[in-house]
Amino acid sequence: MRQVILIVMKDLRRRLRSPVAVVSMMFIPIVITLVIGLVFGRSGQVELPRIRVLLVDKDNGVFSHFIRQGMQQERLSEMIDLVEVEEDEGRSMMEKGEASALIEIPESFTADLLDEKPVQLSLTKNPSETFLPIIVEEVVETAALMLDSGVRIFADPIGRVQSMFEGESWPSGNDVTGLLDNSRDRFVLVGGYLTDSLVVLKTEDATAQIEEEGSTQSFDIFAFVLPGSLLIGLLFISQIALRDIVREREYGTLPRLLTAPLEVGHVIAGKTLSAFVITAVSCILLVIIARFGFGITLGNPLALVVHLVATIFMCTGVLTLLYGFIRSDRAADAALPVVILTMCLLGGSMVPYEQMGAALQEAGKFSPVFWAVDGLKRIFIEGAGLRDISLHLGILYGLAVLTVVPGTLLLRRRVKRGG
Amino acid sequence: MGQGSLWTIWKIAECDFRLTWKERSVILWIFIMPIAFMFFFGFSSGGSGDSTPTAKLTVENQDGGFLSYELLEALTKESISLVDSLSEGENPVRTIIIPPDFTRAVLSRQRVTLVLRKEEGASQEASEAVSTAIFRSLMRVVSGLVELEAEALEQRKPGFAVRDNAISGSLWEMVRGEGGALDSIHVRLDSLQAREPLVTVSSAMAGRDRKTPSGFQGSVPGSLVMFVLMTMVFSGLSLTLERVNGILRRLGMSPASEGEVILGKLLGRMGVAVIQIAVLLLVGKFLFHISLGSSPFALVLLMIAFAFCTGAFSILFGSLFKNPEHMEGIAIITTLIMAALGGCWWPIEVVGRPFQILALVFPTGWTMNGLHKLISFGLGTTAILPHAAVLAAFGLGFILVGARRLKWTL
Repeated sequence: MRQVILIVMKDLRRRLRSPVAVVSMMFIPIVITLVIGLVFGRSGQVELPRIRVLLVDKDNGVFSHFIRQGMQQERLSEMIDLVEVEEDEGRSMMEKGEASALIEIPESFTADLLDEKPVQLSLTKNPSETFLPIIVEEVVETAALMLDSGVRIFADPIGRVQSMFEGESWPSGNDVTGLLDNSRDRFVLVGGYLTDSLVVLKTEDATAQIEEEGSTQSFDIFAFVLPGSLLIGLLFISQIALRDIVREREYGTLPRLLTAPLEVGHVIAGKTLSAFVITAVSCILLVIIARFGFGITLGNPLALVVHLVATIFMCTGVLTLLYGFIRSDRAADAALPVVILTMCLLGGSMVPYEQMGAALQEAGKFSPVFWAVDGLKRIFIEGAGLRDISLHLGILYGLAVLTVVPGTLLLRRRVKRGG
Repeated sequence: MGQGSLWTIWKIAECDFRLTWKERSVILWIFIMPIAFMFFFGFSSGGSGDSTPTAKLTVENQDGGFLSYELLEALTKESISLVDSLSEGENPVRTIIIPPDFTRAVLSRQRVTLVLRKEEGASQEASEAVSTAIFRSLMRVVSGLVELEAEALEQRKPGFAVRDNAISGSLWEMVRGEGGALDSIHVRLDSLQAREPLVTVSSAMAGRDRKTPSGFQGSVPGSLVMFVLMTMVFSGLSLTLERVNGILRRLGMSPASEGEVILGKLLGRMGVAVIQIAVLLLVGKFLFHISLGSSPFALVLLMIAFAFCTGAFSILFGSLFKNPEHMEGIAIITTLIMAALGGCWWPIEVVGRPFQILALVFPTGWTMNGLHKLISFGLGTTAILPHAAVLAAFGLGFILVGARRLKWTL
């Protein structure tokens, strides 16, 4: 045991003398979390930039003004930057991608609608944007439906007004009174739905109930992103720490070391343990940064410690097994990052697991990274305890044992053979 | 520059190019990983389907009256996917709960509340779309009802009137006790709902190619730009190795001038980048079926400018460090930052204005923007000339600083 500890101490001293490689890997989770947090804001509510919408109004009538004013009313005006342009100018701007959408209101839009003739609004969307033109489309569709409903409801009084103006004689007092009564009645009917909100849509959030129980806080993008990026960092740190075995074998340091009264098993155990310690120290530093740098609430301390130990153990175990199959330093440099990134891709380190689609989600469960990331998210975001993540812990510790044992045996055999 | 000089540059470039491909593992990094990323990110954001994925809405109808069916019928006209019953093991994403007595309450003009329940993990954007769809469907049903009420007023039907700006009675009271009257309201409402809309919206995309950068259409350019940059940044590492191992010093003693060595190194790297870009674009075209725009010449021009820029960045990066081992993490971080802020990870439209401007500080931002012009808008060479010029300027800047630093080593 003493020899193992001596090897660990020697490796730690070496890493302390030259920490750049490990420290730069520690920066990966910090940078990813920071960039995403900076871009999308801590609450993760994407504050969309104001949507530039061009309007070509060839009608200039009451109903085209309704559309224009609708887009400039309080809530929409915060979201939409409406710019009136001429037709050619608008089309040219759209071709250059200078706005998210162009709305064209045709000539005699108002007159046709008053005659209850079908009319069509044209919407040209920016093809290089995915979301903003869809928002504009929804707004225009809704405005069209409001106009449609309004015209249908007030079709009768509108028709009466038209026939009054089209008639040769001045309308009688009774005609005007009848028209006013008719219009007022319809306003009263509509008013019930508008002012009294007779039909209300209430949105309930299943997660809100958990929030009310006080077991979690409002959404924190840092707590959502950091677990995934942390795993990328930890796996690469484990890789760097374990790389010594292959390098020392190649440089001849290991055979020389074995001339001392040391067993191969001691050396492999020492190297594996030092990889575990280096990964653990890095992890502790990253968790401290997560708490005090990003202000992440760490949740249940016992669950966090047990889960992190399982995660580090898993990282070391998986990398030990992989190194067991690797012959040279060059092969390690080429193959291991690919394996690590693939595990991270599938495990939800790069794309949120929730967005991955059913097939990829199922595949993701075969990646150890999934169990580490999901467990950490549950601790950070939901305040999960040991019982809540028992399945995660079981899989991570199980995987760690199942990888570290054959991994060390493979490495031992390889070192003994001098391969 | 004489013919001999060109020959020297060519030989150095050829040597670097050959050495890169000699390492078989580069295939993994140059081709396999980018393709894996293209697939994974593209698949997660909609795949190759041109249609936008529709939000799911499960229906829990506790009413049974005709108005709830009118509402559901109106919802089918919206771009959402209505789910009447869930298969075994399937969980609802969001549910509309229509309360019991919905039809009676609405016809009686009594307040009624519909509930939209979102489950954990339900996408916020999709839920917003569903809320809007429900709002519009309600508007359709309600406006039909108001028309019916107006007709009833016109016909002075008993049980329903407007007096002094207040409504007395309701459609429900009007038909109560009258056999078949409720059915006639139902039939009349159906006929109102079946009318063709008066106001419609026709939507089209600007540009010629009209490809929205979602799914593979978004993931292929993003992954291509990120991995070409990564390849080039890591090839800077081999330059550092050459400096550390004294290979550059030895090369400096050959009749090749410093300029020839640097240009040779740059050309070799550009060659690797061009091969990588060409293969990834072909994979995008034939495996992921993405559009590459309508101007191959413009695409080639932009990509050569990008290859020059990243090749030059590789020289600069290789000139900055002395220990190759220290560079790995820094290389990854540099690539991640430039890719993320340049718009390779997410559509640049969703970030705030400052970050949209910041994207143009990086060559990745200009390349992505140029690719959007070519692929999404189907524009030609004129549209991406500024992009190619800026990338060339970036490249020139990188190579000048890199050459200055490498001179000292040589």
